[in-house]
Amino acid sequence: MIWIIAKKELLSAWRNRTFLVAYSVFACLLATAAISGYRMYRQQYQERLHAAQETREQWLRQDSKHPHMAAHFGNFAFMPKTALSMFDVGLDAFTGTTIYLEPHRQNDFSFKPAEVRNASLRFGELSMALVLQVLLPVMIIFIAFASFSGERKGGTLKQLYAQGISFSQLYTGKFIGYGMVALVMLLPAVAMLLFVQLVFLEATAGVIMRIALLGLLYALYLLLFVGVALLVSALCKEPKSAVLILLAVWIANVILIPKWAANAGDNLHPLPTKYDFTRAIKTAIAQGIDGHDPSGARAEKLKKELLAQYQVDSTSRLPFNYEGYIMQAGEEYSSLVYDKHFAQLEKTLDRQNQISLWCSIIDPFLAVKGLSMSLSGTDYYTHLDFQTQAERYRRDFVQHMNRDMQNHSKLGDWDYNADRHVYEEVPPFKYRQRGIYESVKPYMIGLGSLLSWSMLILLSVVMLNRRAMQHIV
Amino acid sequence: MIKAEHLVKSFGQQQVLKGVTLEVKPGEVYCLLGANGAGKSTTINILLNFVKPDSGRAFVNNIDVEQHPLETKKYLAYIPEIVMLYPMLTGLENVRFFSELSGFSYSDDELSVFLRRAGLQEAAFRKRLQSYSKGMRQKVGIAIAIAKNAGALIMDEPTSGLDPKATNEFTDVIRAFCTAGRAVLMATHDIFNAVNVGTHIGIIKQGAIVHTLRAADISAPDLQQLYLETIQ
Repeated sequence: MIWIIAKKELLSAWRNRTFLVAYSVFACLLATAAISGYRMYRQQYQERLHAAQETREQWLRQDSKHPHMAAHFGNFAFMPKTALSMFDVGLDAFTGTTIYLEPHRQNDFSFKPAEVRNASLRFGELSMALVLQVLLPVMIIFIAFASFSGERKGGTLKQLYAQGISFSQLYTGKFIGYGMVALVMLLPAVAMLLFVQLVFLEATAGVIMRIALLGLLYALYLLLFVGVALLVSALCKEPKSAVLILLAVWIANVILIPKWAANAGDNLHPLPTKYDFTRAIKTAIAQGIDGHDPSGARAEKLKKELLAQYQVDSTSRLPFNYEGYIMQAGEEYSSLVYDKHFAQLEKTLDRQNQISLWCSIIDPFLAVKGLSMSLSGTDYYTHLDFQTQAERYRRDFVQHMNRDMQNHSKLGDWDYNADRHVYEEVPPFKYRQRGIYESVKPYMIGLGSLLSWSMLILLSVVMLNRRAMQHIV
Repeated sequence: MIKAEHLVKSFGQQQVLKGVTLEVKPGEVYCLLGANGAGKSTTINILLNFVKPDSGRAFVNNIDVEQHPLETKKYLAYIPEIVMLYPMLTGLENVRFFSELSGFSYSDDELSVFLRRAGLQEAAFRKRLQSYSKGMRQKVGIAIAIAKNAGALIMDEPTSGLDPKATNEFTDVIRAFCTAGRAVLMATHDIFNAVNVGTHIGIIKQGAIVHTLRAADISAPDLQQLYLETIQ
């Protein structure tokens, strides 16, 4: 019986010209998003690969010079564009692409695309994810708002019930019918993504797995909208009121709550200005973390300890270059300061993010947005992970250069030159992508939200089943 | 086959049924005659369990309608005042859809037989409902009722808006139902049709049945006289 209803809904959708036109427009939009996403990925991927090779080349080819000077020449960490960023660009435009790695300083991202792009970005980039998250629910609303209310107004609902079917049977049948329509709309997106990844990008098993999970995620999200649309339609006397309520739900989900969450994050946990942040770090390095341990005094204390340890009376008699040693010690101290301040900054950002994450309990759109970004490797936590790995690399590479100076040159000997051999010992930076579970972990709350909303709809249907018959006249 | 016992129903302040009792046995056609708002539709809606009565009970095939809403539907077919169908489906597909819902799977030939018996012209069978007139839709509704092969038929002013020829064809179909031993309950305000097709007539006024008589005992003019006197 359920299948008979589902079949009828599918047949009606298939014969509905308006629906077919809307579907074609939607498919075109999706294809546009896919093509532009792919081209952008391709271009940026090449650019970054090229830049990374070039800077590596420059690093290796620099003249023989003092190791610390060579370290100051610096290195670059390029955030690789993930293959799935063609699907969901996430925060890529706002987080920046490159970190300049140099001694003494932990730099932030530079070259944020949002800084150089024109007004187009203000309206959000048209990515496939955006089309699926924002546009598809509206289409589902317009397809399904009259599913019950239209039949009630038209009078067919009475005839349906007179045939001896229950509300839950009718709901399930319609859910399968409209759900299949929704999935058919999702299908081209997943197919396009898979096709591009397999044919043009030599997708790895991990990427395929991520695409599969993205498919499941969006299927759940869209079915949730189908469920809500059918439920609202069943409860409304008029199709008009059903569509109004559903659009209100959509606006709250897609615009109001996310906007509120972002504003609340800013207001409750404000970020320091860039100026204040850098000055605080500078002061802490000069005056000591606690403000009572100036750098001069720290060096003096270290010198005394070293002299006592090696039982010599002058730094020039130490078996290594004292300046190299003190340089590395300074580096380690500044690292301590950076760790502290960046940790605070990350904590604030994390608190801001937490507001969005908690809001995703009531807002499936936010839940899907977070999960989708994390699966595409374009979310905040992936960028943070990149920053952490780049910083670890910076410290290793600066330490390597300082140690070379400490071990191979004498005190005051600033003529000691490191050569290509030393440069080569510094491996190029390579970002190691996180596993799927690790990527998704911060957003588990969203997954919970999607599942509990599904349960809630199921429960409502079961409860309504008892009194639906009285409802319809 | 169809039974209502002391049905009482109020919508807000207004009491629309004040204890309606009626019974339709197999082979009978009961015409419920009354003005607009007399309570005809409410009685029918209670029998279909679309409205819950404040008190009283309704039965189809001796099964309580309120307690077994799905079970009782198996034994009844329903034709509303305006048969509404799915515009995207053809006449044939509409009959198929509704029959499948009540558990029958008929071949195209069988479905055509039902439509023909309901009086729909052959050419319209495979056209979409969008192009149908009201009379044609009504015939599809009748075909759906025939296809259901149920013991009870409940109709809410089925002939309103039909032309005389269609009404006549409709009357024949009802007679066929009746001779097949089915119980028919029909709400109407068409007096001549009531005398013509009915075996029993009940006149309902302000939520109460004030006269019950056998159609054989009264002529159309007399019934009209009685009806007008009653509803004054």
